[in-house]
Amino acid sequence: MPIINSPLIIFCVVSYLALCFGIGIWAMRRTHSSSDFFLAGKSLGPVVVVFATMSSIMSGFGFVGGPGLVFESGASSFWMTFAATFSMPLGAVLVGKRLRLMAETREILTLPDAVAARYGGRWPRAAMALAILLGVLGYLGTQVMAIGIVLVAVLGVDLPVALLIGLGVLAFYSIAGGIMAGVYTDLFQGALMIGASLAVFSYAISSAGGLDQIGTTLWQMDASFLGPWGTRGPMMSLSWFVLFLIGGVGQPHGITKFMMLKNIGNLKWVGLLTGPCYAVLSLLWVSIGLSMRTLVEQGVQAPLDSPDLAAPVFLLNYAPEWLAGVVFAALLAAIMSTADSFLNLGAASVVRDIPTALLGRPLERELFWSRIATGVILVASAVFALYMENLIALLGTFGWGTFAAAIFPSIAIGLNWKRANGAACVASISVSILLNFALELSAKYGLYQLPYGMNVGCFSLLASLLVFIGVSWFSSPDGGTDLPADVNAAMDV
Amino acid sequence: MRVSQTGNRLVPILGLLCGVLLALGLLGSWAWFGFLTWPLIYLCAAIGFGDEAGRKAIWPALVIMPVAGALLLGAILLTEQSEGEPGLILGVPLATAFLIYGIWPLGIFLGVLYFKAFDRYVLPRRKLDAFLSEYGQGESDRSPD
Repeated sequence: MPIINSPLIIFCVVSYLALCFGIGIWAMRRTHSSSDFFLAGKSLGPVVVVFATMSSIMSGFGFVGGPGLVFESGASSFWMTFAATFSMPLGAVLVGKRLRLMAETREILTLPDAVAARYGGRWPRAAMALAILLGVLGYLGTQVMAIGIVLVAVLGVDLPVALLIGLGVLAFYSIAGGIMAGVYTDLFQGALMIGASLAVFSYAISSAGGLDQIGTTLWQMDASFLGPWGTRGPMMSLSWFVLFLIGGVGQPHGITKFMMLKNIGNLKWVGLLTGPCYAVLSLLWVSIGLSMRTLVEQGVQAPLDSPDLAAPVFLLNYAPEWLAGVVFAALLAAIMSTADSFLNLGAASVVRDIPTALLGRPLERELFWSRIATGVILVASAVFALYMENLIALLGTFGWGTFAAAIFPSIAIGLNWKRANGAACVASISVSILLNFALELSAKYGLYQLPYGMNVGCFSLLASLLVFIGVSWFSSPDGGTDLPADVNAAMDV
Repeated sequence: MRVSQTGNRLVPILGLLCGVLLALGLLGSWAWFGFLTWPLIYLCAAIGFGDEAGRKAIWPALVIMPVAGALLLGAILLTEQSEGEPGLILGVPLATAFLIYGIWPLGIFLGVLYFKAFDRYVLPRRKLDAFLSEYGQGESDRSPD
């Protein structure tokens, strides 16, 4: 990313960081228990949950990688971002009510807690906690690196100093205020992202001469670029659609927000509003990529060294300075809002889920150890990001697909199907981890690639779902009637 | 104990559909893969809506499914028309317009359907009150540190 050197942009970014710090202090005073730390005390209104869900799903990838993908392959990645408009209400339909009702009857603070309540035994909980931890480490590493890269560009400092500043603020509000600080910073971050997306859309389209000019230029360049499948082809586009639509319901940083609602009746607002809000964010993703490619084709802009430079170069060269400042703050917001959700999930896995699976109980002084674990995970991911870049890149690729394939069957289907059982849960999670790792590794090292552009995450999701349903079907001849009474009732409501 | 949920009837069909989609994906039959994506989404939504809400929600969904299929068919048929003038609709070729202005907004329909069905079918007050009075803890869970 180019060095920015603009006082106004620096002011916007520093103001944003200061605000996050302030929210951390405010939230710290309201965090008294592990329920507050992991679920914000189940005290949130619908607006906060809508914005927190939307902004934690829209990571730095959406603000930098998304426009880069459109720049490189045209309409292919539309299928990725448009899928979220379906997956967010689908999440409310499939898991919102069940998870929230179960959280009303017992101490369910995490997804592995919900899995343990649903399936019993220690292995389903352990498998789910492991899948979440693996996904968290990968995702968090890429987010940490992204925070460093953005701050290097804005502040003009070295990467270690940038990481120290960015992660210092993130550490403060995540450790002090837990998810309470996370969701209230998400509220601000989400509002910032929506405003920035609308403004960027308008500037991006007009910079390239309007919609028809963009369409004509890109059509003349390559008709397939603006065709419905882009340059990556139909199989890749459609498998992205399935992975991001169905798999979106398996993203823990999104669906755990359902359990934080104070009033269960407000679930309907979450189902209604989260998709359209995300659709507004997609405008930034789509418009920058198309406009920058048009400007390059028209000869107005020199070719880019990397597609990922589409967003920063657009902001620096074609957007007003105030808007660039707001969007760089929004970009940092997108990255940090995702990172804080992952920190919280990782801490829950280490302090609560894995010890409960192994020892039969969470660690004592759970809140204290959760704060320690949050700090340790953040430092570990910074070290990984600095010194194990290849591993982080692999885990980052593997993150979304693993969450989708590991979590969707056991949570989204298992909470709606009484015949599902613990053996199926463990089997599908194992298959999802193995397939995702094996296929990503073999593709990376040129050993084997799925044919016709089929996406690895989509393949793993469908296979994991098939295993889950098949194992449940053949190993539960009684039709699954041994559920705890409260879980059974929650599945009947 | 009641086990005759909607899920018990629909989940096995979902399993079969996953198997078919895997096979189509590996064979490169992308058009069929695309068409069968809609029943996949529909089945998941129907499983989530459950018995009562599912029965009420089925009619709007049965209208939307062919619409979604027709939009996808339009995109597929028009994909190959890449010669001559593009015939743009709001900046994109007709085939892509089916995606952006047709398929994309359909996701919002699912949210609207959920919102409309929520109080009467998804989580009626009487069912919630009965559940909470029998199993609820009385207040949101706050585990001491």
